[in-house]
Amino acid sequence: MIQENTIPQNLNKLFSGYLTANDYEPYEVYEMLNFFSTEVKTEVKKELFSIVEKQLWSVEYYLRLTGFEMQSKKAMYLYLEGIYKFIFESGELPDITQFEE
Amino acid sequence: MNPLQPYQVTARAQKTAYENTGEFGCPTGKCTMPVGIQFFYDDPLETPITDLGINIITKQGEAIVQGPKTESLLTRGLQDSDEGVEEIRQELGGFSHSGIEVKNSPLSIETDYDEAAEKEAWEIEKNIVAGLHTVEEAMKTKLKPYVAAWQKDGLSSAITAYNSGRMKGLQMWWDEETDFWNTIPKVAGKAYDAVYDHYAENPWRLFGPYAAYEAATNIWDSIGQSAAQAAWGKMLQLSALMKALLYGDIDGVISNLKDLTGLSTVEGYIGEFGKMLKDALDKGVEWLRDMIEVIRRTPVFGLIARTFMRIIVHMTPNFWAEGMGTFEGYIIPEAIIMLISSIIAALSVGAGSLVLALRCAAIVKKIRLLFSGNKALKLMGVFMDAITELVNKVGKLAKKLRQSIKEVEENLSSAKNKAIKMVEVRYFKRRLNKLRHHGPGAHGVQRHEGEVTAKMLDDRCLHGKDPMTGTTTDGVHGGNHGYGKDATKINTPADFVRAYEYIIKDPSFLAAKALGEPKIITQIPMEKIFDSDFKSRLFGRTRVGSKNNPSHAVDTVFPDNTELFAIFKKNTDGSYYLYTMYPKFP
Repeated sequence: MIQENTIPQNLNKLFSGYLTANDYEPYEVYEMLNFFSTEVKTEVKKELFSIVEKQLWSVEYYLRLTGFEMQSKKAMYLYLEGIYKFIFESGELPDITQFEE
Repeated sequence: MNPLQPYQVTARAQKTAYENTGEFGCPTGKCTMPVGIQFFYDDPLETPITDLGINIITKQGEAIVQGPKTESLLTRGLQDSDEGVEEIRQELGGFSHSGIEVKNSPLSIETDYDEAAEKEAWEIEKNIVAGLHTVEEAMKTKLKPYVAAWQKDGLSSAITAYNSGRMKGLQMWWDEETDFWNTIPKVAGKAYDAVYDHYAENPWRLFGPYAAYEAATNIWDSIGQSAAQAAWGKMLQLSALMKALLYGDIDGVISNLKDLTGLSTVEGYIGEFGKMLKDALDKGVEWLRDMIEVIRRTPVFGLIARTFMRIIVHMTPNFWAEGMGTFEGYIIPEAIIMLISSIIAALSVGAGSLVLALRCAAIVKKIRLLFSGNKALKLMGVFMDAITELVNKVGKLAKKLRQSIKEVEENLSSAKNKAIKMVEVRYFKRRLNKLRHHGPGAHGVQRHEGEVTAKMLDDRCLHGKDPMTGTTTDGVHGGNHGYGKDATKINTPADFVRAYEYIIKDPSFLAAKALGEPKIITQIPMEKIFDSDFKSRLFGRTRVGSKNNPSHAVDTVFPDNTELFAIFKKNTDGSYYLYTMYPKFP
């Protein structure tokens, strides 16, 4: 059970390591994902899915976490949904600039 | 002549005692050899490290001589600034022993490191840093009425004065304070020169008819017009000296101090300052030794310089006008000279160089007299007193640092009587440079260390300009530069390196390293690294407005739970290097 405005440790390795405004390197996220065991990978996938589905993060929290100031909560979750698909379903990388304030 | 005190006799006797150690008149005397060592810093003056406790260790690891001190001025019956110091300078910092048995070689000589002294030094440092934060906040509050009045008067076109270089070396400090000066409204159509000339010729007409005039007259009489102008003529060097202190640049500190000895030919106490400085450099050893050790191992002078200059540049022209009735700010060099004299006095006290300390104290006392009279000058006096009180703690800090120097010279052989040990003075700078090029794409130093100016931080958080390139092109990958709402840095090389060294010993880092993760992310509370008073060690600018519609930037307000965020990347050989590191909100 993930608390509101918190991030589990392994998921944080993806967001703080590859998806921050200061060091945005989304295409390299797979190096960490591939390092994870299948078990951890599955867990991380579930965690992000849960965060997006239950909208557990506020815009303010995301700003502190990554340095990105999103236009709105809606925009932020659209982006996060895109990120989920990009990481776990071979989707296209969402353009962060379209969602930023 | 004063009789020698017991400690003075002991100090003088040590050299003879060890140099004549051995067995005399024994037909089967042991085969002994002389051993010697001399400790120097590698600063431009090659300052000897005197009064440094040492131990001589045998190849078996046994300490056969414990605790003697390297030769100091005291052993020659001298102290800093005495006649005769120049002649013996190169002989100081050494220790020799003539009676070491050859069977014990090769020998090692290690400094008599005192762990408790190191802890005490850390406590003193934290105390000074906390005090600086308090002084800065208190002064900003006290200066608010002047800032408000200046804004209300709308005479701000004269701000151009600060940006056009009229204030000489202070320009480099104003660049750090863009937020403050940008809040002062610009008044269209008022050319700087007209305003400047008007103030310069008739300052009292605009700012308090009598008080300012009177204050100005008193100050000119007190300093002496030509001396004040001479001091003003050294404003570039004074400002550069403060910058050198900020960046821990020992070469810059010494070269600017040398340059300021040029003031020795002018009248009054500005001239006394020049003469004192000349003697302190030419005939000084132990205050220099302590200054170098403080710069080498702490950010204290840097943070003092930074706080001091931040307050000075937050003083609006009406403050100076009220204070002394002129725009040109002649009194700023005097304030810096007072600070420098206070620093040398504190170091001299710590080093036991009382003659030099008294000379400095006399200069401080005379300059301090300037800061009385009207409200603005009194406020300046309060500020100078608060800073001086903190500076006074530096002497004790230096002493504790000296007692906790950790150096070893190994493999001293009988063939070499005198080994020269050059102790690295660019300790943090050297380590910082290593971190600058720690691995592919490393950019922590380039974007988040003290030499990144406030202007560069503004350009980053407002316009996405990378401090590495000065443009929106990223200095690491060549694409568009990524940036957030906050652009933050660690103020001094010493703290940047210490923060890094803390992380690589932290269990969270070690655990991730053991796992072999491709990237290690660490987030450690600043409080854990620097204790609760860490805020003076950090600086940042925060964007007001969105990325697409930025308005301006303000100083970042670091919360108590601010973290040190760092990313390490893995080298092909499996080792890790620092990719980036900066203060971040949790």
